[in-house]
Amino acid sequence: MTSILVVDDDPAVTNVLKLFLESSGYAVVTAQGFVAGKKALESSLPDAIVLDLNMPDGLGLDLLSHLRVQLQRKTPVLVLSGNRQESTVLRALEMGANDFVRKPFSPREVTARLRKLLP
Amino acid sequence: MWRRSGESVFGALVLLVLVVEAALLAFLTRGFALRLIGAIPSLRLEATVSWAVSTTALLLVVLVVYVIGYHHLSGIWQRRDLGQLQAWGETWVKVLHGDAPLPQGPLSGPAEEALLALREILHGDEGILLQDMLRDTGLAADLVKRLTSRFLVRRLVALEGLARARLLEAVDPLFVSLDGKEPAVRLLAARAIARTLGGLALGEPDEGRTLRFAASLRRAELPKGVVDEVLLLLEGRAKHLIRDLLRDPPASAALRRAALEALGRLALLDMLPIAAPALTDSDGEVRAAALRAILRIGYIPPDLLPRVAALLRDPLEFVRLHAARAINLVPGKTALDALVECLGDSSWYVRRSAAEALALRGPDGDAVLEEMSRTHEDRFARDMAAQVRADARAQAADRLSGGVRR
Amino acid sequence: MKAWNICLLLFQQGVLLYFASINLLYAFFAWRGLRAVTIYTRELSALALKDLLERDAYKPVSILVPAYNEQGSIVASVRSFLNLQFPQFEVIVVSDGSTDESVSRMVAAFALVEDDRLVRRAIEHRPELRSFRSLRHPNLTVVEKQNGGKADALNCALNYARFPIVCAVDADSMLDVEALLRATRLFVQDESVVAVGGTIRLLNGARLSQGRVSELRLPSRWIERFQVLEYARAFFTGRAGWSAAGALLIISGAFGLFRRDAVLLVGGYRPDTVGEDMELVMRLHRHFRERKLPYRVLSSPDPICWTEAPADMNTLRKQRNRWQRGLLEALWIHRVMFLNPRYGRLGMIAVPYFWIFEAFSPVVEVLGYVFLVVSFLVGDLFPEFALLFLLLAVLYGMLLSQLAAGIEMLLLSRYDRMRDRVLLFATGFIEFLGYRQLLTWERFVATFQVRAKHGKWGAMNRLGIPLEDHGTLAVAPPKNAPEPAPRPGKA
Repeated sequence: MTSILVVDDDPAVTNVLKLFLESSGYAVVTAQGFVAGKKALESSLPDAIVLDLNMPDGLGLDLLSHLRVQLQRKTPVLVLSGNRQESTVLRALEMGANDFVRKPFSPREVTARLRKLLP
Repeated sequence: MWRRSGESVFGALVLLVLVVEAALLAFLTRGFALRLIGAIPSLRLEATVSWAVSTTALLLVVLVVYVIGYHHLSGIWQRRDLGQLQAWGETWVKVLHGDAPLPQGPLSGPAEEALLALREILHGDEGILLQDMLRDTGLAADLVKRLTSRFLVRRLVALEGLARARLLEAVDPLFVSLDGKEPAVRLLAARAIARTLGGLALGEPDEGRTLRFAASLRRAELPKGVVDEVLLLLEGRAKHLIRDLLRDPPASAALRRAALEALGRLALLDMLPIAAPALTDSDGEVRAAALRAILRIGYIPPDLLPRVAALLRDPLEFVRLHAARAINLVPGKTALDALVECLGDSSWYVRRSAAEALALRGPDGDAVLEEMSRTHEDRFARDMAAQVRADARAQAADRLSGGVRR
Repeated sequence: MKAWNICLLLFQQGVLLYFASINLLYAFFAWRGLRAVTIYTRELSALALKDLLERDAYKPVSILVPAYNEQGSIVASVRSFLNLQFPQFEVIVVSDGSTDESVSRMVAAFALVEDDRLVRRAIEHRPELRSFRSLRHPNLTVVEKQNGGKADALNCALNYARFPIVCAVDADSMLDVEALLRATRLFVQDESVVAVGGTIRLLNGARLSQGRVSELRLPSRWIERFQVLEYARAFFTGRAGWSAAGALLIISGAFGLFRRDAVLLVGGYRPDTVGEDMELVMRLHRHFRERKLPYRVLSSPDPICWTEAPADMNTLRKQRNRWQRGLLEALWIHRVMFLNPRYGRLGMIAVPYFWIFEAFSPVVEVLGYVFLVVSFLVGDLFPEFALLFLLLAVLYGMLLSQLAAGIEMLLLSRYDRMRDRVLLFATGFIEFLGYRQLLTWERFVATFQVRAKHGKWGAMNRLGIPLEDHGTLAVAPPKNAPEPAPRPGKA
């Protein structure tokens, strides 16, 4: 089964995505925050990642660059962020994110976009 | 950062201590004075002092018992609340997804918190479902009811709840709060209204509430920073407010500056013509705000160009500074000449602004800087040109060598 | 009664009333401060902060770090500043003629290269020798200058600062992760705010994890525990109350934020005083009040700065000696404010309060003890009184400590272990068994040294902040350095 890693410090986000994605047939692993996210990245090989940008214990963009540069993985990444600045979107895409969804979000939209990113 | 409960009881205790101590001080002073004039015997005074000692000791005991008790209990409550919050978080998601029935109100504290947390992050169809959940469990009505509570803290908490709930029907009661007396209440009400209206999809009708908001803001006497925030929170709907705040009769200078700042931050290019009168406003800060908006957007409409150019000679230094940066948005020789003139400005900051602007213009600008560093009639201008040019080259070399990690 | 007895009684009563009044005032501040905090936390919630962060609504900050001979901890400190969660900020470290390896260690750790940056000398100070920028951290600047004192170093950093808000810290301050965001929020929300002070808490005894405080534990030495209570009293009762009343005179040099243009307007820090932090705030007050311009100076309870307090009596005494002299110097410089209605609440209430109840409290306290002893020696005239007075004074002190500890308990980040809570209570009593008296004596002596030691700092011992977390702070006091001309030290 396709596995998805959701990295966000907000338990509301991880709860929602876990339920909605699982009911769409994916296996979901959640990581609360940067540190947990980093650990999850290093110890598992998810097929796709949903990543929050502003976490209290570390920046999502740092995690993204860790994935693309240090771990050299091409896992599709969907960035989920409340940030309203266009520059943030651009930076995320430049650093290797495949898609960007703003918060507040629609879980069905996130599911649909993830489906497009996966083979 | 602070625990949500326990402040009021402790506050009452502190007040008790305060009152008792004040009374003791009064008795002691009186006792001393009487003793001094011999009106009461030494033993009487001793008794008074002893009373003071025992009362203070009693206060201390009460305080310590409370502190230790609260410490213990609050630790327990915190752990319990955390557990309940997690459980409710999962329950609400199940309800949202249709896997569980809707719990009936009234809801407990953690249940409310978890539901609002969920509402905060979702929009679209699920957002609408959550709004229904908020109404059907009675939480929406409860929050509105608490807006008129006797206790200030309850009102503030309800206002924050409504900011997260983003329910259109709550906006009218919120307008009432916005006209209230307490500054904290007005601030939170403004924020809640802005968040609610800003969360509406652009096509969704708001039945004139945005315009009503504009009128209320003019009355509300909020600090400029708060208006800035409000405009940012309004997102797409900020346009209407900005237009209203910049039209005649003009709102206060602070409100106009906030409107201009939001215009720039939200990159509302098509509204730049409305900002035109601000460039010739009598208030220097408003003129500077208009220039900053142009800078943020990164474009000067041609019919605004003469006014911007005129500001290069503005009597206020910070206006000239922004004008120099703004004029750099225009390609061509006229702008180049204008910047050269600014190099000779009397203010160090304007000179630096102009030199940095030239440095950003590429090879043309660099050539001009080089020439000015030799031939400009003003010694300070020559120095500034040389320095900024050297700085710019050092930074460019750095970037090329990839020395910068972030 | 004989005249002598009357005198004695008068003095004893006077001393007791004096301490009763201090206590009453502090209880008042505690109540006022608590009320303000209650409203403030609702006004500035996590939601509001998140909203602002997501919309880039913040003001960029320049962090000014004056340093002198801090080789043991400077690299770790600067690294902790660079790791702060804030969208746009810079760190400016000024080595004030350090004679140790501070600068060379920074050069190595941060890949510093010499830099000839264009800077406007808005304020004069002792000349710079070299300035550096970092290849790895574009927002780090290091300046090496001739020794001139902490205020002088801060003025130099001010010249280099580019952003509208400056944050003056001590070289060993460790800022809470959200501290900058919460503090600058006040400047964003209200344009008239010119200065904001945060809360200083003790790092001693805390457990660190990933460069942040993960658990608070009471430190093991009594001398550190006493200071936990002292800081609690100062910040949770004193500052909060004065700020709520709009009459805040002190913003700690360990963590204070200012609008850069306002500081430049009044001429920067004054290099000839050891109380440069308080003196600047008083000067700001005077400048705006004299011109009747709207302004605010605030102390906010939640931006938190962790500082390493002295763990040995020698350093502690020198610190308190310096604080007392600083207080007196600053008050004296601005003596025109005393009971001057032109300065409103500040002149009529705050400044007199500081003169009477802070500056001269060591004198009164020492006199109190002296009269206590004299009472006993003179005979059995008023021994019961004397004892009762003493008891009352001690109880007052304990009451005040418990009020402060009670407020600290409301924080989410608090001393969580029950045994620490009980220990704190005991500390409030044990304080009176010598610690308090020693420091009072030091402050008493300092009062008479103001003239002689004008503007002088003393040598400090420093515990090193380890480069890696080992769970608790390492303990390795460096050697004592000799005492030359004015230079910066810990606040």
